[in-house]
Parts: sequence; C-alpha cells; structure tokens
Amino acid sequence: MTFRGAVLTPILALVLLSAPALLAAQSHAGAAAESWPMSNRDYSANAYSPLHQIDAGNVTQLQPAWSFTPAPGAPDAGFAIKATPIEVGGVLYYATPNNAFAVDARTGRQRWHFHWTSKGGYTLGNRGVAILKDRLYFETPDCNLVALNLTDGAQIWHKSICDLDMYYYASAAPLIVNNHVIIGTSGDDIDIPGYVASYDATTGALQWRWYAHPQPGTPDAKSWPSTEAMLHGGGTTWGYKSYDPELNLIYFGTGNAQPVIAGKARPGANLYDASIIALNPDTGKMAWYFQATPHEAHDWDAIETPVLFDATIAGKPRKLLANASRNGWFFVLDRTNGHALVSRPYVDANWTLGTNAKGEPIPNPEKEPQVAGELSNPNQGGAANWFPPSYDPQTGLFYIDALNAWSVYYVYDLNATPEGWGGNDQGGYSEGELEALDIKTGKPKWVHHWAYPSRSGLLTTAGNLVFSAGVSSDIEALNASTGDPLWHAVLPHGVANAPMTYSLDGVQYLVAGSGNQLVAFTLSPR
Amino acid sequence: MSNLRISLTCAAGLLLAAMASTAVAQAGPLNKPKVDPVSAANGQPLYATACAECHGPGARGTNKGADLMVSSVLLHDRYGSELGPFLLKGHPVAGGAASTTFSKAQILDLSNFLYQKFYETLSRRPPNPPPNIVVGNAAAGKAFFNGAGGCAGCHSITGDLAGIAKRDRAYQLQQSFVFPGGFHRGAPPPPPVTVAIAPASGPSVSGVLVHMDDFNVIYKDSAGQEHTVARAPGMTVTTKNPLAAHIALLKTITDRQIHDVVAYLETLQ
Repeated sequence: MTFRGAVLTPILALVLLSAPALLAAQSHAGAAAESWPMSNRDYSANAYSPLHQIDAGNVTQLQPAWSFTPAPGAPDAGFAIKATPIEVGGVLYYATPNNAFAVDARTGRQRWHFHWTSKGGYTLGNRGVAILKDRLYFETPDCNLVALNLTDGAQIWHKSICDLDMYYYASAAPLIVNNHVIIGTSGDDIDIPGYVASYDATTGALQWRWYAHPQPGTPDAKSWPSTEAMLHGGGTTWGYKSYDPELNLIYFGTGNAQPVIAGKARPGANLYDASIIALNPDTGKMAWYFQATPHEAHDWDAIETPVLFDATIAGKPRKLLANASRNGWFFVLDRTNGHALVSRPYVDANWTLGTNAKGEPIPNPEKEPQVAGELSNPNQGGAANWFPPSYDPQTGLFYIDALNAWSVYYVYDLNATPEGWGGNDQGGYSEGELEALDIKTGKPKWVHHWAYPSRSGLLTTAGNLVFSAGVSSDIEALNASTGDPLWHAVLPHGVANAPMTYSLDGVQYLVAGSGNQLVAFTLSPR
Repeated sequence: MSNLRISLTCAAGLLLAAMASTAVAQAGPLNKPKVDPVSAANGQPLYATACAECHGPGARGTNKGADLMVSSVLLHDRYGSELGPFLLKGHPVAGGAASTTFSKAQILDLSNFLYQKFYETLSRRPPNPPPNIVVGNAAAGKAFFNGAGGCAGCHSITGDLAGIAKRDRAYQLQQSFVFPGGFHRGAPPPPPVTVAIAPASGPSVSGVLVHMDDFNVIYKDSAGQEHTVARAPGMTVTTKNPLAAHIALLKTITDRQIHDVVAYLETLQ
C-alpha cells in the first residue's frame, strides 16, 4: 500500500481531547508500555516497543493519522528531523537545530515552539531532547544546554557547555540520570579533545567533566606519541547514551581521533578515541573502555548507540552491551567489565588483521590512508553511523541499517605535524543492507538488500515488525523474524530519524520524521 | 559473509562523495574574523621575524613554542582584541623589537596572517598542486590489466582508453577506474542498469531500470516509455549492471594493484 505525500495533510481528530495530562516525574528505568519517554524509549536504548496493536498481520492497513509541519518562514524551520521524538503525557517533544517543539500526540497540533537565536556552529542535526519532571533539555549548535518549561516552552536557564570559538558545537541528545543532565559534544574541524559533562538538572551547574583521553603520566597515555598530541586528540561524544541503574554506569562512544585521516603522525592506539566507555554518572569516573578502532584513522567515530540487554550465553546469564560500530564491526560486550563476547565484522570491513585478546580489532597498518590512495571498506560515512539501531528481545536479534561501502582515502596534509582534517576520502560505491544479527554469534539471521543505499534509524515492536526508511522517500515495515517487506508509505521527504511508537486511548501510533515534518499512522483513520 | 553482500538481482547504487566539505563554511562562530589578505600579507614578514622561530613557519608550534592553530588566545581573537593585550603585556619575540612596542596595525596584521593560516588548516580540500599519486609499477599494472584484473575483457588501450592519460590526470584515472560512473567532473555518465521482470505467469518484460524498491519496479522500454510494475509473489526481478566487474573488483583488489594500474594508465598518452 502506497500513500502519496498529498494525503499527508493534517487530519482533524474526531474526538475532543481532554485537558493536557498532568506531567508526572518520569521513571526512565522501566518505561510504561504505552509511552516513549526517551530518545530510544528507555535507558537500554534498544528502540523496541512492547506494543503490538500494529503487527505483521495488519500493518498493511496503516493509514495516515496526522502530520505536523513547522510554520513556513519561521527561522530555522526547514531543518530535517533527525531526533526521535519522545512522548510524555500525550505530547510529542523533539528538537531540530535551534528549535524545540511540543506537538499533541493525538492530533499533530503544535502545543508550543521554542526558537534559539544561535551564534553559530554546525546545523547538521539535533539528535533529541530529554525530560525530567516539568523540564525539557536540549543542546543548541552554538554550545548551549537549554532548560525549558515543559508546559509552555518558556526558557528556565541556559548554560554554555562547550566553546564555540574553539570550533566545538553541540547536537547530542542529553541523557538524564537522577539529577544529572549528561551532555555530549561535537566538532572535529581542529584538534580539540572530546568530553562528556554532567549538569545539575535544577540549577544548570557543572557537576563534572570527563575528557576522552588518559591523564598525562598514566599507562594509557603511552598510547599517544606525546602529551600535546593526546590533549588535542579528538574523541567527541555526540551519540546516544544508555544507562544501567543496577550497575550505575552510563555507556557511550567516543569519536574519531585528531588529526583526522592523517594518523601516521600519532602512532599508537590513541586512547580513548573511537571507544565504548562506561562511566559512573555521579562522579564521571571511568569504569572501563573498549576501543572499537585502535589507532583510528578513517573518521570512524564509535559513537553508535550502545544497546543494553540481558541474555544467557553459553549457559551463563549475562549483562550485555551490543554495538554496531561505524568501522563495520559488531560487538557484544559484558557490560560489567567491557570484555568482548562477540567481535565480528558485519560488512566487508577490509582494514583489520583479526582481534587482540580483548576482542578489539587489530588495524592493518597497510590499510592506513595514503597520499596515493587507500581503498577502504567502510567508507568515511561508515557501515553504521548515529542512526539508532534496535534490539528486539522477542527475536533476540539486533537490527542495523548498514552500508557496505568503499571509498579511497587520501592524505592531503603533508606537513610533519598535520592538523585538523589531514586528508579525506573520495569517490565511492555503496550497498544498503538491513541486517538482523544474532547477538550470540554476530552472524546475520537475515539480510535485506535495499535496491539502493539507504540508512535510517530503526524501530522494532512486539508486533514482530521492524520499521525503517525505504529507498523511495518512504517508511517501510518488514517482518522482524524473516526480513520480508510488508508495507510502505511514500512520504513528502525521506525519513532521517528513527520511527517511534506509542499508544493513547487504546490506539497505537507510528510516527516518523519526513524532512522537517512529523507524520503519524494508525490502523484506522483518525 | 561475502555471499550475503551482493544480491545479483538487486541493483546497486553508486554514491558520489562531495569533492570537499561545503559545510566547513558553517563551522565555528558566526562572528569569526574575515581575513584581509593585504593585512595578512603585511603580517607574514612580521610573523616570520618575530614569531616563527618558536611557533614554526606554519604557526603549528615547535618544541620552543605552542601550536597557534589551537591557541585559545588566537581563536577568541577578533582583529587583535585578544592578541593585542596578550602581546602588549610582554611576550618573548625574536628580531629585536619587544612585543610591548607592537603597533595596533601590526597586531591586526598578525591576527589576519594567523587566521589566514588557521583557515588553511580548516580546509579539507586536496593541496594545490596535488601530490603525485603515480607510485605504482606500470609493468605490473599492465600485467594486471591484461590478466587477473580482467580489464582487457571490456577495455582496449587502442580503443576506449587510447590517449586517456592526455585527457585525465592521475587522480581522475584512479577514481574512474576504481569507481566508474562519473565521479569527476566531465566524466561520462554510467551506463544504464537493465532489468528483466518475469511474473509468475505471463510474458516477461525488460528495459532500462529507472527505479525500484521492495514494492514496485519502474523501467523504460525500447520506445522510451516508462512502466511501473508492482512486485508480486512468484515474480523474478533480475538486474544487470554493466559495471558489475568493477564492483566485484572492490572486494579483491589491493592498494598496490590500484597504484600499479594507475601507473600503467598514465603511460597511455
């Protein structure tokens, strides 16, 4: 069934809505089945909903319910939606660069809109908002964390979280743990260190900051050729973060090393770049790291979502963390200590010589970027990127919308001390694959080959469905067990975020971003 | 896993990467300084005399002085606003004149010169002139072309490739060979992918593939007419990509072989 964009005009609700629900404090550890209170639904970041009103048997009956488009001509209104909206109390909240929106989840009518007048920074995308009690938090491109009143969008405070003049910018979705608003930073134009930081949710006061490099003089600092290189070594933290309340650890990835591409000037593993990190959210102290790409030299941030779940492996119950990294490798780690249980490429990654004792890939020195060109898989965009993957506890499969992509990397900066972007990749060929990986082996149970390269965030549901962008400016549903395509709807613009779902008044809604619009579907017309 | 990677019935797309990031123009603050090239030119000799000994000719630092390309003083400076007070309170410089005697104009010139170097560092573009990438062995490239690479099966050095090195630079030759289909400006468009559609019953149809997804296939027949076919159970959709040999090569070719072939193509003057 195909819906052309013209039908996605706002549709009036047939019922009068009650007054806005009283917004209670959110307990994120175990989100109610009907809701979607965090970017990836709950602290596990598995982007899975237990809702099953929409299922593999009836998904073809989905109908447009409503759509929402920011007022034309409003400043910064045209940015594509990359954030997954969150649903709290019958209202959807999301952000685009310099904007935060509240939209009625039943009708698509705007509740409020907040615009931030920016002083600069990239507007590549905003990855989401976070809510605690009566406040909403989001990051702005010009390095601010803004707290808004949830009911009317009025600004409560804003705090500078990074230095725009030093070419940082901000795009990450904050993670809230207790009274901590934990932020990530972006920016790799010049050689600056990445970090995460925690701010007091009430006052906005800085609580701690953790830099993505070892302390000078420690054994891990020997992974750099010099302290100077280490302190300017990159490792931004702009991806989604997850949290285990029992272990009281947050999990996130760090970005590429600096200088970018020109890695020969910084021999060594370059810790803690391109790594998965476990931190105590109260202190900012690192519990462990797992370096997805030792000596990273292809702009392969490891910021892809660390997804948490428990499973029994080899007869032993395990607390696990799964991650499909931009470098083309899939990892399943014991999240108590960072030891790899599964470490396996999920595309034709051509840059490794196996794994070390920790399960980290060993980079092939011959596959480092060269002046004369080095053919690499993945390409710079990566086999995966920031787009949320999904884990379905019913199927036991981890879903990733992957690109099997090649490009040629060139080193441009021929100085003895390259800086910033010391090279780049060019050209390329790419194949899009939606993969369902067995978390116990890392092997695909099924692979759906898209006709053209495609990538978006994913949603799985208890209806045995996985939702993704298609290749025709559409949203598509596939059977989560088999990968069989079941349904799609053509949208005005491509889907750049991850679809999400929630239930209100006994009706399950499916919502996705389409360019700068939100579009909603239900099983019956609303 | 290689058997899972390419579906022979699935058309594969070519992604063309941008030559350079246009997004760089958006980086940093909106009020970042605009460089006055005349002032920057004036600042160059002053920098060379007073600063380069410690901070290096490119201002990237030495073991005697800091890397100014990541200097907080410079990156917060707006036309001397930070650099001026920093220098005028006294900073070691070479060449005789104390930094405390620098004029406002000299400080502005230094700021412009340093920001000029900084923006050069921000660039993600290839250097101009580009470095030599012809590092391979032409004889080995010729052997690969005529042997394991399978190139000679479709291409001829006296036919389509005759004199190609006179038309394309080495960099373009490399990109065209590894990723055919029009990466560089002026390259011919990729040959069309064709599709054959065999329904569960009834006659098959075929033509040039226009677009397909999991639900529909759009093709153009020999008369140029477009048709849309809804996919149905039992239907077989088979595509044929003329670039399939190049795509297959991506999985096996080495960087050395790429460099050798480029060296060989460079001989086709």
